[in-house]
Amino acid sequence: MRTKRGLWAWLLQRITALMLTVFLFMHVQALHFGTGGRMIDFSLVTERLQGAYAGWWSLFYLLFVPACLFHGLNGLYGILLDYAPSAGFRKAVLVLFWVVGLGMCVFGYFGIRNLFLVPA
Amino acid sequence: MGYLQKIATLKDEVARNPNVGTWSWLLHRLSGIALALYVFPHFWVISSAMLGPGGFNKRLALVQSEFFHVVEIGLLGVIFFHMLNGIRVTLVDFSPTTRHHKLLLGVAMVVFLGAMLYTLYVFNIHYFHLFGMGGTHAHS
Repeated sequence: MRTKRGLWAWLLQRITALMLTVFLFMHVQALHFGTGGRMIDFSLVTERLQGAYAGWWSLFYLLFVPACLFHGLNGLYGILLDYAPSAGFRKAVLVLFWVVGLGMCVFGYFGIRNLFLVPA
Repeated sequence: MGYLQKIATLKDEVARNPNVGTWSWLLHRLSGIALALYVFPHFWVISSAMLGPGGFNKRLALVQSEFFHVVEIGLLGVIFFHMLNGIRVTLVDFSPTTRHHKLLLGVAMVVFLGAMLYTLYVFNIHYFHLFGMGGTHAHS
């Protein structure tokens, strides 16, 4: 049972890592290298997110945000396990991380919604 | 053993196994913690879109000063290190390259240096304009 959990945590960490390699490449290209030095503002972002590939970008963030949060929080949880915490503490942190992760997904959804909907 | 004491043994960890793998493990861990924590202020900045274009532009401007562009180079460095070392770890896990992990680390670090040089080049053209490079863009 515990072995299975550990296997999934490890495998999902690898899967999200590969997703993030691709997604972060696109993210960095779009917002750090590809701006031509133009300041990032509402119009720069909406040109991309409300342009011809709007549907693909919404799919992108639908996968990118949860993958990011899972990879980060699962990574922190793995580090915690290295320090052999008590079962109660471990469980409390696990619950906390799931609440934070799912909460941040919802926050992220409402956070970037306007960038897809509101004209610049 | 208390948590603080356990963290202090990181030094022993390096002393016990003073090979490059230990450094890559330690740096992977530290960069991972930094990136996991970075996500939270990043969400805070971007979620200002909830306030509409005006609120978004105001908050985004806060993090695009020259100082923050320098910080941004550091952020990209942490991302590239974690990404490239992570690819190495994944290759070692899934392919028969296990015995060549040191060579793989060398390759990853050469690519890392290349990525950083490219970053410095692009950022100089975008924002810093040293050596008379770039600067034709009127960015407000």
